[in-house]
Amino acid sequence: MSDTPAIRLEGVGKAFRQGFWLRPQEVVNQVSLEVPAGSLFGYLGHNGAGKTTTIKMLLGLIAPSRGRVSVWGGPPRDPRVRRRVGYLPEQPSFHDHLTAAEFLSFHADLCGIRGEAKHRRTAELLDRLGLAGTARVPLSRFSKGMLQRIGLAQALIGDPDLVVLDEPMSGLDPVGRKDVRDLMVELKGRGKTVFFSTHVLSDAEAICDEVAILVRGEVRSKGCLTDLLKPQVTEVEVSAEGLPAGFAVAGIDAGVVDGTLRARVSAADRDPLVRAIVAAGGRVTGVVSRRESLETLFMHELSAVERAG
Amino acid sequence: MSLPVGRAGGIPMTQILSIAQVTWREAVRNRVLYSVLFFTAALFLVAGVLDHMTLGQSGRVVLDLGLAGIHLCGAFIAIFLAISLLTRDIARKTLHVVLAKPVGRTAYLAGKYLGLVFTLGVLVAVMAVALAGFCLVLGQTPGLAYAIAAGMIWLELAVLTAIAMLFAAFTGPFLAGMFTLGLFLIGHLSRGLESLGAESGDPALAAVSRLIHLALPDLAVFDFKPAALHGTLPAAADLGLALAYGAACAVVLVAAASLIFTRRDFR
Repeated sequence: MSDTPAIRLEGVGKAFRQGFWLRPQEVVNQVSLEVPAGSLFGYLGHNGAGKTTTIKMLLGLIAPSRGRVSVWGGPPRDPRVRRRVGYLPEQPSFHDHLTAAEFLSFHADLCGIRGEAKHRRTAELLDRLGLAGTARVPLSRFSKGMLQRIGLAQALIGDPDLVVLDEPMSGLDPVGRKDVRDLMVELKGRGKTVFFSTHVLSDAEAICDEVAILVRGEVRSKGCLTDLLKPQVTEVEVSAEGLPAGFAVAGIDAGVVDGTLRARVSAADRDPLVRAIVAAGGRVTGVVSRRESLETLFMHELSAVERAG
Repeated sequence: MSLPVGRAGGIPMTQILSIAQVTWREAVRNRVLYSVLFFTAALFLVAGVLDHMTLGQSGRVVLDLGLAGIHLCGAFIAIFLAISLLTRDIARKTLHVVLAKPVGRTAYLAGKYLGLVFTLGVLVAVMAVALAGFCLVLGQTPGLAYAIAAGMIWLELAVLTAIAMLFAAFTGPFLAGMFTLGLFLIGHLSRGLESLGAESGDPALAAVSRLIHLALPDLAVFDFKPAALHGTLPAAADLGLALAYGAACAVVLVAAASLIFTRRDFR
């Protein structure tokens, strides 16, 4: 595997002028991060955090106001760099007068794939993404899920080493979301680098090697999930039934309703609570340990920024 | 199932032609095109009716009005298509997936331009053949001069398309349309303006009118309709000048549009 990172951002910032007389507004600020080749990287943030702007800088669609963006060691504006990149935009809009086959054939041409290889790859991708029967259907008749799939197909048509996906699960049903997650894992398994943005944290937690959390244009946390999330148990959910009315344990907030208890306690309070339940003649129906999730980390970073004003 | 493997390794000309082909497909599926073609056919018919009212000018009126119709309708289509197809690609962000591929922005504009010029060529050819057929029915045989006049209308439309693309590269569809329409009108009037300035006797006015004439595209250079009406072949020098001028204008305007386009952010 190459030592050159797939993506390197060094102090990257972008400001947009909202009106002629108004001062430029900072959308992305001092973002520095490195995405290793072959990794599955999640770029997380709330709506309007600056994820799409960063992605557009990675593709050369937007020039950074400051800092340096490099993809596979080169500037994104260089077509030779983009030859190794596939991109799926958020809420994709395509040339909808084309049929699915015409559309993929067009994008294959743009990637320099010609002749028999083009036809073979078009057919293979339509088949792989569950669109085999739609080759002659115009994109104007596609549903949102189908558009997302054909968008993925065009992103993969040039067999890119880096796949950049902007909110790839957006608007998909659970089956579609799983398919996209499986596809990303499959791409990583084939040695590809996958960089995707999302505000759905469970998606990222399920499949990512590394993440960066973007809050109001600034990267607040980045690194491997195992490093970012504390492995210790932060909370335990205990449930029990058959308890007498008025059951209580000193120092533990655990109320009983109709003989049933459902309590969230600290890890230290777990054993005393379970012993007390058994001693009172109750039956423990569940003990679930909770560790720090990406969601709690994200909410922590968000509230830290909000507190700072 | 494993993902299929393919390898890229193309040349820009394939990309340009592919973008041109998609532009052609998009243009011919545009309903406005058919309404304008219908309008042109109606104009021919009106010319046919008027032709019966003239004495000793059989077919001339049809040819005159028909060529004017091709010219005006062609200009309308050129402005509309160039601006709408380019600004729609930008506004709907269709452009983003294309520019994320190994495609230079200049190649994109060149492909778009070639596709539009090809579409206009087919359109002018269809209208010109229809008009020629109509004239034949009325006993007038359009010759080579007619074909040259139609060809020059196409060349003018190619220049007009480049002007429209230049404006569409940095502004919205309404302003781009207004600016292009303005240049289309001035482009046909600037020779007259220069003559007026020269005849005014005021050196300053003469200089200003000459400057306007030189700075703005002179679209009257492509007007070979009078020769077609008289059935006389234009001078080779005039034809050569028009061809060279048209090609130079198109190259300079598309290059200027590309210069703006390459510096633009696509949000």
